[in-house]
Amino acid sequence: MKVEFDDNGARVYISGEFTFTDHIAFKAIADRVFEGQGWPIVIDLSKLEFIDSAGLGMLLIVRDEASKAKRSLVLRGPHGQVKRMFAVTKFDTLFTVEA
Amino acid sequence: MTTAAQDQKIATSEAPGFTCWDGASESSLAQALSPPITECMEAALIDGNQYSRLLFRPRASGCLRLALTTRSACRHQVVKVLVGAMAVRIDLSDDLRERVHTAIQEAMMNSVLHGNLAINSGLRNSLEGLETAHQTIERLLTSPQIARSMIRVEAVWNSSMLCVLVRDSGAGFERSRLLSPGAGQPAGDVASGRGLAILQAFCDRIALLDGGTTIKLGFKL
Repeated sequence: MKVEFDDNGARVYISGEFTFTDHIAFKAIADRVFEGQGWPIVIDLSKLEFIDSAGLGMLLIVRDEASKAKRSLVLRGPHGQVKRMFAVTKFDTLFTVEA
Repeated sequence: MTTAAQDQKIATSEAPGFTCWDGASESSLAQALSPPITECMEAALIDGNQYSRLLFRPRASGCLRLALTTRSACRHQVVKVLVGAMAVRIDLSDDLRERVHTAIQEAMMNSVLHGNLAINSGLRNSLEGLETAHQTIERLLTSPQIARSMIRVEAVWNSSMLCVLVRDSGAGFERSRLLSPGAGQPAGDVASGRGLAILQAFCDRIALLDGGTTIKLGFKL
């Protein structure tokens, strides 16, 4: 998994593969995202090629944290296997997902 | 006692189609799995002459087998490489390759986290839990016995069906737990229900064998 930030950390670009081996990397991402306040959080998945259920679980954690912080969260650009996983697990109904 | 290099030499010379993986990288695994290899074992698992013949039954149809350590399963994207090696041998459509990759990844994750490392699903349901889970995994992997505990993946196919068995070395888990989708377990692995939903959506057949230590995935070709 590779990560880039923009907008003071509120926009996150995740690329490559996001799996159960990425727990600590994702914790670091989330810490940086929640350092700021008031920014809508956008997680850009347009370059993410693969996700497993652990990756999905980590996105759910961010959703819960965003809710606690009263910040909006958008998942942007899922495609291919990632989009398919969102459909199978009904993630589309749990998140604001933009094309 | 022989060295790992000697063990590797003995193993590869005595078993055609068999090779060792050094456990170093995904690219070295891809190289190790190049045809005509049918069976690959991580070198760290080889102890004297006790190598793969003891682990797998002979198969007449197409097959590709990989035995690796829990440490390597945690360090490398092994499934991606393995599915790439399968795609060289089997005519997989893009759709099927995606389903096979996703399903084996779920089974592998289950075998590593719940089978060999016995990590509690609930541990990974908060930001703090992610860090705790990471620290727990790293601590467990400092134990040579746990780090070297084996994961076996066996892909067997004929003209109509591909079966993939993922076996761990753990204590297994109850079938009732696997079959009970659990809300409130955001970690989302096979045991939580989300992983099971993924397997059901992506496989044509699923079976839990050997007291929960083996997951069998079936795909129509």
